[in-house]
Amino acid sequence: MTSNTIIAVLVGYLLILLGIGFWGSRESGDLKGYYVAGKRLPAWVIAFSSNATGESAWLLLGLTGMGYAIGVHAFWVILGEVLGVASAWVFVARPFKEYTDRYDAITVPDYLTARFRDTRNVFRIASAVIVLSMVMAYTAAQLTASGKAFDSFLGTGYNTGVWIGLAIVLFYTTVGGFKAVAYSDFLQGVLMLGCLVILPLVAFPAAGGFTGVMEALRATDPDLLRPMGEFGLSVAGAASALGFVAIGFAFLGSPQLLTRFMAARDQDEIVDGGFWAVLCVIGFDVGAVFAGMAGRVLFPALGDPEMILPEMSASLFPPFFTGVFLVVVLAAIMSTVDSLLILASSAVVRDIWQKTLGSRADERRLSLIGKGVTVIIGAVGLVLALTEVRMIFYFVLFAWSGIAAAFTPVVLCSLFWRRTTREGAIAGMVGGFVTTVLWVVLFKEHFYDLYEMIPGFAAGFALCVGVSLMTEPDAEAMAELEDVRRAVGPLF
Amino acid sequence: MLFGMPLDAWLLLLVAIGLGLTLEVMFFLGRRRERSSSERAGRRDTELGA
Repeated sequence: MTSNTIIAVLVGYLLILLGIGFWGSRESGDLKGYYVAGKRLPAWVIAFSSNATGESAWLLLGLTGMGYAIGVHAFWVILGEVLGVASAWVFVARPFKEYTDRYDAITVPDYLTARFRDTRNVFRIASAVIVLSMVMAYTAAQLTASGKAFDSFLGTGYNTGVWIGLAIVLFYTTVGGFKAVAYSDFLQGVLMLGCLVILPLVAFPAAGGFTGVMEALRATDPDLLRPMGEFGLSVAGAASALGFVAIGFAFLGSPQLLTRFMAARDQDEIVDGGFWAVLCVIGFDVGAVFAGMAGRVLFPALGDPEMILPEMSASLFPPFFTGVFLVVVLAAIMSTVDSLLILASSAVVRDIWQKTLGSRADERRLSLIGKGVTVIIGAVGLVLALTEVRMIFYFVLFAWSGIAAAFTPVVLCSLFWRRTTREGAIAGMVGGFVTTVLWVVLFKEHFYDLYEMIPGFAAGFALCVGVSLMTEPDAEAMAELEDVRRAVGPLF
Repeated sequence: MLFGMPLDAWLLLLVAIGLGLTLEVMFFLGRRRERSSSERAGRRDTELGA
């Protein structure tokens, strides 16, 4: 009976996604429609969709688990993410939108190629290599989460859960393109927000009220209520806090998020969308951390902190809501996987096939090829997820920082520093990515487990600025940046 | 201590939410003001033209 209720909720949700896929299919017939929904998305869609894409299953399982395991030390994640999202919408979105509209760009490498007058397609090739390698790891991790979620909620078995998750995402992504991805992400973002607002509201009274939870946490472990956690004021504590804040840096320049700004209808949508995006991320993060903290009091002996959300939903809510919570976890997974698949597909078809190899196929045919590539990339993620059951969030955070360290320093320099040169940008992109990978493999454990995003960003900025200062900037590009600044106008 | 949570934890939470929110609200209100003043100027130009 319980299982039937959960399955009914799940089937209802999946039917809605399939409907969105069919609805979006009308605009996925050419590349601009398939990859940026014809640049006609409204504010509320880009706001929720960018947050849902950025957060993934990490928000629901990982951040609630952090609230459970480390208490208020996880507030540093809230600081980084709220500041990251707000800065992206206030500082980055409008000049990026202005530039990409001028260039008629539909991918981030499109923008970088035009911005730096890159006739040799170096940005396209480097971007494709970085995006494909990171998207494989990221998608595999999300599919792993799908397998675990289906198995823990419905007992389907891990492999079946991975297959079901991928089949649904592939269907609406290939049929409906970016429009279906963005609107389904909107729905998924709203569901995630609803879940993370309701969960602590129910959990705190069940655990003895706000003050009662805090007193119980202090009795369990006083470090749970200290901002610097178990480390105290120390180098290790600062490294840990800085690493948490750095998670939010990625919102400033990751291509899967920048695509949302490109797809906005116009500049006014960005002004309105930023407000919703910041409120949404506050609800996401505060809800997740507090839910985890209340969960620690309710279920103090949980073996795996990342299972606190499924545990709370099954114990505190009737079966219908358990089904809703399964749907929300799947929503978080799917909203990220669909965007990553579209991003990787655009890297192969737009940046390599069409622009680097010079394919003369018409738009309809290229769009079909894009759909085929989406399926192939999903299949590779499936194989990775099935052959090796991984730690979900280790890979999510690694891939998140790999993409961000490659693109964010370069995108920020390209938007705000007119002296940035093509050579500097290429050095920053490759250097940021390589440093992230090397840091994880060689150095991380020797330096207080400092999160790889920080050295990746530092190297990306240092190389971009250093090499730019040693090379000659393009005069036309410098004048163009001033013109974009004038067109965008003052910030406040 | 406020509602059982230490003041430094409250402070961190308020800064975490407040910094980004203040930035976004200032931006939103500033752009709204800019948008309505340019709309007013546009209407005035139209009336003068008529």
